[in-house]
Amino acid sequence: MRRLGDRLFTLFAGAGAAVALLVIATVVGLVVFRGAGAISWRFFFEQSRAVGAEGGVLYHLAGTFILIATAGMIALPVAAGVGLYHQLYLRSDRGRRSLEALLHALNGIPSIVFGLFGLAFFVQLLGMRKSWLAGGILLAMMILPTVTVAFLEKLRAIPPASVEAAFGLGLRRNHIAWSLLLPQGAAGLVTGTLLGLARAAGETAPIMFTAVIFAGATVPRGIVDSPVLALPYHIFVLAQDSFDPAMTTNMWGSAIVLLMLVITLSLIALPLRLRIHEEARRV
Amino acid sequence: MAFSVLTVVTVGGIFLFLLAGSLEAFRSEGSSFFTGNRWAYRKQAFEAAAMLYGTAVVSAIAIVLALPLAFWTAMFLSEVCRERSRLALKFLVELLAGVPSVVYGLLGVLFLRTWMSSLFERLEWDAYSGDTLLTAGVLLAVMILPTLTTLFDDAFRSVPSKFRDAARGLGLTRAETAMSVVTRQAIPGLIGATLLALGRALGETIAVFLVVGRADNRLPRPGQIVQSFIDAGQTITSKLGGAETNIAVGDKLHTSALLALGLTLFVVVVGMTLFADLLRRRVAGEAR
Amino acid sequence: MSEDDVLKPILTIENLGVRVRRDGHELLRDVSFDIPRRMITAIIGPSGAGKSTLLKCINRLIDLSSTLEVTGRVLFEGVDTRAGFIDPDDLRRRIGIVFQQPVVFPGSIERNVLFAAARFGPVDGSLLESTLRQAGLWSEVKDRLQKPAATLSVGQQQRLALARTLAGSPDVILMDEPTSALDPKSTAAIEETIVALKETRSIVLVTHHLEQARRLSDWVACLCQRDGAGELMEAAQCETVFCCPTREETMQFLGIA
Repeated sequence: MRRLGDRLFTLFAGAGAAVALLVIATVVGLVVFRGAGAISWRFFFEQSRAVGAEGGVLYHLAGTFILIATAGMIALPVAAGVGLYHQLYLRSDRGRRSLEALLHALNGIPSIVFGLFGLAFFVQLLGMRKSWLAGGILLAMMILPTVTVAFLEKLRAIPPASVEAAFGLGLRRNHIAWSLLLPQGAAGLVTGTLLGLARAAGETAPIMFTAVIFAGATVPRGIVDSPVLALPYHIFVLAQDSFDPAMTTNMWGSAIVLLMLVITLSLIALPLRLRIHEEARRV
Repeated sequence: MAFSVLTVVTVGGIFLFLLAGSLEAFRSEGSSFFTGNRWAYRKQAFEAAAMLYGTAVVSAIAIVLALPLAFWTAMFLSEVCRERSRLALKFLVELLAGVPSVVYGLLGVLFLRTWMSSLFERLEWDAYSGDTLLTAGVLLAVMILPTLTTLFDDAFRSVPSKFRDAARGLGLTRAETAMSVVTRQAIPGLIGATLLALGRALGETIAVFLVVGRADNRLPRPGQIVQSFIDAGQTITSKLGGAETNIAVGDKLHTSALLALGLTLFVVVVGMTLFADLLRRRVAGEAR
Repeated sequence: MSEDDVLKPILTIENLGVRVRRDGHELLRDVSFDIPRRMITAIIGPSGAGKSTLLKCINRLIDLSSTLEVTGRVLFEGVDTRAGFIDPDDLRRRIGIVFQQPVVFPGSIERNVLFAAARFGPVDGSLLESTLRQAGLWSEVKDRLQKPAATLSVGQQQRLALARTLAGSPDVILMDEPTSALDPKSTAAIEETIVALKETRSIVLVTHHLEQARRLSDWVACLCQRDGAGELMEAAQCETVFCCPTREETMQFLGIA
């Protein structure tokens, strides 16, 4: 009887894993098979024609790059500051946990809420109309927790004895931050930023009201009233009118390009991240 | 280090901003904002019960479908799998987690929608199209599966091995140990993980928007609840992601109503996230 | 039972070796000795010599580590513990184990004691009391059997763990430093229990308290590290090992010039 229970358990567990694998395979398979035919070198380097129905995604890529680069440049220093503050100035459990809770809260905010906030704040209140900078700021807010948490994980791996020793030597906190914590934690900061950028690249909701338009933009001229094109938004709009076959190829192509971008960013970060993660979790 | 203040300002600021902006809508509608079923922006009526219903149903379907699958997959990963295959499977699962929601939306629109539609036909169910609450729920289930699985696996792995050793040492089988001892010890982590996944499901916009049908004011009577699953519907996120958000610019009451929707979402999701945080911290505390 | 049966060892370790699968690093090398029936066998040796690893090999708890590879044999009542028809879970019921740090499951004292026994079949009403008495804990908990086991002191929890193991009616009880984490009073209680238990079962006791080993055991095996892996130095009667060991490593360990 107990033998039977044991066998059933293994069966269920195996079945679960098999179904999960099936789901993964379906998703990957569909994307790869339908998408592979849609891209070519031209696709990358051409710009959009016929209001997105034809042509390539050059300016969409450019727009996405601008957005995530802005987000990264804002989020990285802020995350570094927050992380260092957490390790150096917050010595009590309570303080640290509160900051972590705050980060988790920020992380939990749905992306559409960022978009809504952006619309009401940047576009309406500040009158910026559509602006790539607003989009970048919103994305930075969104990925801040990702970057900070990765940085903190790496910082935690620094033996507390080293930090204690540094304090004991009478070094000032700024100095400790710059000479000890930052260099040692840099890997986590970089990993976190890459992951954050991967996530930001795929987001539609935060930027769709505040930073992007569907067609007509190339390179932004200023800050206010300077929208850009972006890959995810492009796909989103096309998907809403998905019955036109010409659109379909374009959609798939854009999707593949987006995925390639996200995967590349994630893969660079992956080995480092898995190692930190497994090290932290293994009992 | 004032950057940390910036974080507080951001979260608090967004919350206050939404709150302030929503006041007008609340003043105008009162509690019927949540309980009434009449959303017609042209008539300045903003009662959102149907959207609350839609949001709840779609997320509930997603959790119900994803939870057992994630549980058993995580069981497999932590109790059955050997080290090498474990990392490989974990990598694949993480891969799925990184796929942007718009791509899932695309898959939903091009494939899931038609599959569901033919399924309904095959079963001779009375469905108008493939754009239904059920479709959105299924798509969402696939989207939260990787997160849920990874978090469940983390919860299982953080149960100290001394418990497994003690149980197996007494002669308990692997199954008995996994189900009675490991699962029991991991419960706070499991609940926390579920709440987090639920939070993400509630907040997902793009994919849901594309396949849910976007039909307003669909609030079924008790007897018609099952039928409503195969009808089109509307969630808070699909409303916010749609045309009304741009239309509302300039109309104070309309904007306020949308901000009120956003506030509702914010409060529920962030509340859930923080609670999940509390639970996961308890797991970590016990493992020391 | 004939005299032959009494003299036959209950466990025989034959050329036991344990190594890490990936890099071949050895933890135990070529360990062979017998464990006599109904006696207390102490396994002594310096830290890192592989005493706990050896213990885990006896009840196949070592199987849970997929990174380790086991060579050689362990015979239980003459039967290879790794034979295809042997159920490892049943083996672990018959060869019980108590760890250094007691593990308490959530729930009441009663639930803990009967944790495993409840699965083996219908439970005799007297089992709870008899195992707790044998573990020397009955008088202290008889009035609060339904209270959470977590409220017990460490010493009481260790006795609880022992009662829990006894509930499975094992023929052998393995003990890995069972009193190292305990205060002197609890230590004395457990030692008393161990001595009483050898009437009916065979005990294998890993300990780094040489004094405890000398006091309690009938038979002693000494494990020391040689060339990076644990090897058996000697296995003989307690007095023989302590006063006239044959190997230099044993002498060094015991502090005999």
